[in-house]
Amino acid sequence: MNIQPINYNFTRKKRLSREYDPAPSNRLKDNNAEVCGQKNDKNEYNVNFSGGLHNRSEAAAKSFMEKIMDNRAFDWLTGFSGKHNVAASSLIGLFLAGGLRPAITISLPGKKDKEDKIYAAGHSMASGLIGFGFSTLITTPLDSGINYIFKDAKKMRQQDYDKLSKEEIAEYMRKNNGEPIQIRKLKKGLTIVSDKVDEINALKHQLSSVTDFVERGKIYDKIRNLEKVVKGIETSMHNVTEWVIAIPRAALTIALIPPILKYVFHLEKQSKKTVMKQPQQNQTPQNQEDNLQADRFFVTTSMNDFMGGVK
Amino acid sequence: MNITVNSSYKLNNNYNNIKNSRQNNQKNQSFTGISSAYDGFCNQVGVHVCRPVFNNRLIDKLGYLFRNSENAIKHFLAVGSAITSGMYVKQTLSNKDMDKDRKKTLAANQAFTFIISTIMAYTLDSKIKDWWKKKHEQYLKLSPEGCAVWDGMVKKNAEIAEKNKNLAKELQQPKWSIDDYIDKFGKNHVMDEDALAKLKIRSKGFGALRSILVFGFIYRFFVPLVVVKPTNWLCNWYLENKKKNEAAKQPVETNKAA
Repeated sequence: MNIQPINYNFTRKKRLSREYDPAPSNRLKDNNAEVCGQKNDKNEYNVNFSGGLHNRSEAAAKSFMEKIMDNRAFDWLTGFSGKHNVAASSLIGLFLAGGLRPAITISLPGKKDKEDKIYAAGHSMASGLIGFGFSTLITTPLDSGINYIFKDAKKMRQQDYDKLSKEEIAEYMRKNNGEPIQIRKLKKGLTIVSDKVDEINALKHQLSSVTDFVERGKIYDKIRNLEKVVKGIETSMHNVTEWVIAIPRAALTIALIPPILKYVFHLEKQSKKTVMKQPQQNQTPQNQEDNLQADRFFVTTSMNDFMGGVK
Repeated sequence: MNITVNSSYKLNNNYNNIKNSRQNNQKNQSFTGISSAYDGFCNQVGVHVCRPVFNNRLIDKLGYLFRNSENAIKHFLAVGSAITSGMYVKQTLSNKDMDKDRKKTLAANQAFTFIISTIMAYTLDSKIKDWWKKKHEQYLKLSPEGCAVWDGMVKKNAEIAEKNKNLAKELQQPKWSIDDYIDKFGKNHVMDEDALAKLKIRSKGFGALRSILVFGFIYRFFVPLVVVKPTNWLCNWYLENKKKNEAAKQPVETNKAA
């Protein structure tokens, strides 16, 4: 009789052989937790974790990164970035430019350019907020709309469905857990996708009559290529909105930053005109120095306004 | 006689999870009215806005261009950033309040910063690619559905590798990536549709998150904090030097005129 235990070996025999094993590498190997009941080493049974402690040992073996990943918030983030790529990138922008960067900018040492720093931090926060708000408001419904028309375009055309034999329909249902074939509803759909789907369906239909090995391989390659293109189109459609909204977003950011800084952060930048219009009659050395400082402030802030590629 | 002690608790567990998730879904239905109205609105947006806007040759060509790209989002982020930077450069050049020299230097500075940050982002993205793949496996394996799907993919890829051994390069089959595998064979491993859809989106999102995090970190955090200041110093230094040179040249010219 041959008994093959899959998860654990409780026999003392293996443990003894391991205790006398001088090589430390084997011991290290055994200390790894089994995730999903996988064996780390095929030749060796994992004796360290007996059945009772199975769950605990798995929890203890979780690294920092795994703890982050095993979190509902992280699940939400991955789901969000899967559904809405552009909005997710602006969310990360909000976290980095709207939270982390201002905190670091203000906490950096240096008392001279304190006003500059506060202005830069406010600017960064405002741009993060506007970027996130604008992107999310516009791209979220667009993404859902794209999904709707894309799903419809991926369905089968009525004419192709009529061509199918009963056996082919039964085969399809067997493969898809008894689901019937869905037929396209929208008359004016995404033709760039539906044309390719029709081509794929025609090629699949063709496969049933071709027996030559090389020919079949060629058809498979064509199908695979077309499927890749359909996927590429889906990604492009979801992400091209980034380009479309880039210009209005930048314009809006530039236009809305001064009022946001003024009313939300209570900061107001001194404009060059007001600096130039200052009365020149009482030009004491102290006044002159102040004016020079104001000028310098304007020049340096205009240089510091630029915050990298995407604002 | 062969006896395999195979604990079937995993299957039962999987079944119970699916059952529980369905029950939970049925419980949280207080916002169905609002969400269905929102879905209807989104569908109308799809038909009346997305279809006319996106059903064109450009998107078709982009689809062909990025068909082999493993993570096409990064290219879109880079081009989007190029558009934004281009707009800032244009705005700087058309600014009437600044003098000519400063305008040009600032515009060059902006363009230069964009190029540096893009190179940095692409490099970092390719560097962490393998590490991220390992994390992708770890992340999916946290749930029983993901575990089943990942193991299925590994098995399938092993079969393909075995087949490819005896074939010429042209006839060899490509290996499956996890997202493609879930699309194609996910139904064989996960029975529940909702769980499968969630798994699909999360796996896709995890892959996308790499580029999103890297590009966001470089463009919106690292470059503004670390690179902008030194380039500004360089800019000022260049302008000061230029002024000094001009000041040194001027007396010679006046002498000549005299």
